[in-house]
Amino acid sequence: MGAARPLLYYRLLSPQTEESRGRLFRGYDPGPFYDEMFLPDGQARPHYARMFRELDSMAPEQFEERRQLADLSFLLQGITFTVYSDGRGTERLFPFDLIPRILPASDWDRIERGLSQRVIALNLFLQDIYGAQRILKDRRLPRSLIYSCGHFRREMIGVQVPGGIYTHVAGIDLVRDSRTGEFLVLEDNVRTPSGISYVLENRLVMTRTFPYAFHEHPVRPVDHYPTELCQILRSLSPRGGDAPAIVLLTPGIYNSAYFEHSFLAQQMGIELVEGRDLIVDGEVVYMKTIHGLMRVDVVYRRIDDDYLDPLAFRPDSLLGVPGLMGAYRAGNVALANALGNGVADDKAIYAYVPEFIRYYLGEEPVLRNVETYLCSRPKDLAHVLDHLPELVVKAVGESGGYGMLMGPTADRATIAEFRDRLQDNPRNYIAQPVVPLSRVPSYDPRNAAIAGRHVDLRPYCLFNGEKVVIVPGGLTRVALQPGSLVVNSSQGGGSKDTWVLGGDL
Amino acid sequence: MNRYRLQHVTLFEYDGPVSESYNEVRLRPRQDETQSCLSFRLSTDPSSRPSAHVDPFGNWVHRFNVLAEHRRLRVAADSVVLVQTPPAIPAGTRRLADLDLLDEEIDQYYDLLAPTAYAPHLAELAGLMQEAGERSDGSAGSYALAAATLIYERFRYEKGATHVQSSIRDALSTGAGVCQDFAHLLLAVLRMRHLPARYVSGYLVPRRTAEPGASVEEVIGGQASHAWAEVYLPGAGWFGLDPTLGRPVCLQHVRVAYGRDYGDVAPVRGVYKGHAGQRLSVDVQVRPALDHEGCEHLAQTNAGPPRGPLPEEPPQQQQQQQ
Amino acid sequence: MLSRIADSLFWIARYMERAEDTARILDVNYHMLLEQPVTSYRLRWDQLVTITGEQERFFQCYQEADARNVFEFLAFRRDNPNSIVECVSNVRENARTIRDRISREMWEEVNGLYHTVSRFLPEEEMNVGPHRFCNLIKFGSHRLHGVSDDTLPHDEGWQFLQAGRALERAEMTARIVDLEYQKLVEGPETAGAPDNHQWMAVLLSVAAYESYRRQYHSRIEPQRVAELLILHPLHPRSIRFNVGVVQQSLRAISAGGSSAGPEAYANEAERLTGKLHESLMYDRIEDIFSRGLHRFLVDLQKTCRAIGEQIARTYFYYGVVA
Repeated sequence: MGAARPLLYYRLLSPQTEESRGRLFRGYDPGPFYDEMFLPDGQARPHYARMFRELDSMAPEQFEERRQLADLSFLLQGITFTVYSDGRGTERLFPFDLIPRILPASDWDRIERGLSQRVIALNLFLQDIYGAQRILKDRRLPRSLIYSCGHFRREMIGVQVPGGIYTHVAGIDLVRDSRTGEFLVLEDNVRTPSGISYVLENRLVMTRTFPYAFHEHPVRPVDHYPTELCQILRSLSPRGGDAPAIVLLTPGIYNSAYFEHSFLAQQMGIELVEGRDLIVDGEVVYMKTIHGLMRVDVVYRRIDDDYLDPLAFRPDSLLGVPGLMGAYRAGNVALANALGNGVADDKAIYAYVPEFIRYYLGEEPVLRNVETYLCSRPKDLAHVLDHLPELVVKAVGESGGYGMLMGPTADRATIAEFRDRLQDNPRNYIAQPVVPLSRVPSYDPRNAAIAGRHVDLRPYCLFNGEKVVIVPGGLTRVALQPGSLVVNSSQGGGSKDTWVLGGDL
Repeated sequence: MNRYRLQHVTLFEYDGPVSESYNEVRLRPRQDETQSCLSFRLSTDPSSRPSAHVDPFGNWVHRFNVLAEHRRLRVAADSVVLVQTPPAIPAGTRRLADLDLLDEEIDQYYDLLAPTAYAPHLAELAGLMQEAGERSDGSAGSYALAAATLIYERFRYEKGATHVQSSIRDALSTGAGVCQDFAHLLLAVLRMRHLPARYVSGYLVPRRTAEPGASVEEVIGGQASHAWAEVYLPGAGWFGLDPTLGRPVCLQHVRVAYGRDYGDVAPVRGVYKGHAGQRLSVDVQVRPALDHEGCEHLAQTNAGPPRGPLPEEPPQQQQQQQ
Repeated sequence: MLSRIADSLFWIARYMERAEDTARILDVNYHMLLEQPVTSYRLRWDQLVTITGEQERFFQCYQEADARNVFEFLAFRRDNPNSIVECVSNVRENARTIRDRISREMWEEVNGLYHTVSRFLPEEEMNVGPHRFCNLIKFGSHRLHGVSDDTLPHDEGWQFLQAGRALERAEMTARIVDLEYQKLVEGPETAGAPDNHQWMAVLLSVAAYESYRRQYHSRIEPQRVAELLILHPLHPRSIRFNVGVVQQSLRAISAGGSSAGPEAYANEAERLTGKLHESLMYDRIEDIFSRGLHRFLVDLQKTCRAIGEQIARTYFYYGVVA
């Protein structure tokens, strides 16, 4: 990196003076939480020391200028998501916080081992449940839990998926428990996890906004993600050969993740298609090009199972491709991720994942789960009903923070409503104690100062059938509202760049 | 033992042109200890190249597509099937009172014990369950038989009383229904008593045709299509009960598909592109099959799909589906 | 290239051209008509609507064809699928679905125009007159074409843009000439004498006034105007010129596929276009007039429509028989 770039910057920004020192962190209170930047005694943690010094010497005005630069950069690139609160869908910027979330090499090493183990176990579980069902016959998991799961696809039983891979892409949500400082798994997402485009864009914007900080920190790169994913997709082609036709199947421009679909297609150099661009004939998938039908080998699909094929699933779906399931079953096309993965990220089945790791791998889980009550167990249900105001209740098949009760902040009416719902359909709910999430210093524009905000972490894991590749870091989501524990973008969350350090500082 | 030849023709006629029609059919009679499918042939007009797989319930599913524009679609399934006298429910099957304890078996048959959209577990069925219990000798087998008889006695068979999407709620409120509703009612009454039960779709061969030595061909329209239920009696196996007739199944019953309810076994399902409405007619012919057929084979067509006329182009850009 | 993407590019160009041509017609005629005797208002405003082929819809919306109503209808009505705002929003919708396939500059131009147009208040523009609004559209269209020429690779996709714009323009020019000429021979108050005033408007509305002056140095005569607009080999608004562009683009596109030979036409769209271009190259305006201009133009519009349909059938919505 040449010297010219930082110079250009400094010309744009206000001068740095001695008086600015300490103003951004004035009144900073780590509170009763694990603070990722500071030790309990108020000293910066070693891996955050340089970043702290840098921020601490900055005037709020300077920081504000950089923030606006970053926002402008997102706006110009049109990195937006769509919210449907008004029924029409409006495009919004995903709020970005400039202060990076830094993970030391040792933390990441543990996370990486834990996630690899978990993804491999989840994949083995899916192979088993749609195959021999050994785990059910050995009575390590109640059959009723699987067969009552809305995302369990009986149609997939006995289907040979290419390479035996189900979970090509997994997004595993982690949280750091303030009480122990330990990373716990909160949720698995093995259907069509989204958010990776933000990881890549956040990094790009950070290198433009804080270029010199990258000189001082050995930050591990993330930009090889599209290459890794593309390589896996290529390897799935049922026809083999050097140039398989790979497409990314999107529900279309009205989908909230459309930006990501178009971004990934562009980055991988594959065709972005909608259902209407594809047609199945005689169990082979084709795309309609101006020079006729062209055979498609691999579909990286970002459409949910339910909408993928109106013949096999919801007949009212106009987004899907009729006959796709048949072509898949016949082995003429590969789908990533596989169909029926929802049974592995069902929140009740989540409770058994540590058991899967022991059962399939004969290993102890590296990363533990959050303690979970399955309302389908009468004993658990009774406990949950007695302690609703202290618990988080989640619907088993939902994601994105929908269908959730935050006991401690909910009003009486909502709690009463959930009580009824739980009793009506206990299988549909689980409950967990509220995990006091760790916090990372984040900028609060209303006070022009830095304050602690709760975060989680979603690393993206790619599985090629043999090993799991994880781009270092992932998406750190941050609850920008003071005190809030909800990090979902649909509920006012933002994101941060996540730095995994390649070595010690 | 009886051998039948079955010709099942489904005809869709559309008001206007349709295209890109994708279909799956469950029309091949099942193959097991008491029934053999000696021959099966599926053909479509316009022609197609069907392929097949076996679904999780062990049913044969044939899939085919017709891309070119067409105004009618004819699906013909021609099968020869050998039916043996089904076993009768033995005396002294497991006591009803002991059923609740059989955790292991209940877990194994989860799908066939759980409520479904067509056959929900309803409090209104408590009366039927109690009465069936009282009529029975306390064994599971006699409870199942009593339940089938009770439903036969209490409900009126009435064509058009319900429709293909009706759950048992409709039959319960009107007291009438068709074989599909009778079967669903029996499923609920059995499952609520912790007896695994499955829906069976198939054919009911007319009595005269089923008589030994009969040679008369009988054309009976769509009415030969029939549905009933089978119950699993722990330690004894599966037994068919026909609540529409109020008795166990016999040589007249030909089984085609099993499922949790009608939703799993619909004989013909499909989607197509086009705004035309459709008319559906079903014609089933059954006759004793005196000639021996070899092993079954699928319809093979060599002709490529015919070229149809292309769609009309409006002056504006074509509206895309969203 | 995906058919859907080609389809969108083709229609981005067509809708943009449609918006521009409508704006030109509206702008020029509005001012011309204001100078006419009051008695002829109704007829003429009515004819303005006729050019866009929407008279029936117009009279569903309005009692009377006056300046205000016509302006509103052609520029702002959302229920008129060919109004300028509708065309612009169709351009944007198409561009939005293929954002990853067009240049950022092109997207920004389309998006910017859409947002600007959406901010216009019809009531206010009605008071100011159409010039301001129409000018914005004209230059928006010019900029879009400039930006796409300069930022897109001149590949198949770009050729679809060219073909779409030229085909739309050829058809719109035919409509304008046809209508003006009919007025000339049929209009009660203009019968007999050539109406210079009106033909000047025609030339202005297709941006050919200055060209005409340079070419003919004469007063404005209908036959010469028609010659310029129909047969001129180089004027970018003439029908012949635009049919030539369509032909070249279609050639370039089919040459990218395997089906095209070097000399023959590769598909029906190319055949129709080539045949039309040939006849325009060797025809004379005197002969056209003696055979009947109206019939000639009606046939020409039909051919343009057929070419559009054939392009769609060849590249966008071809019969899906693999």
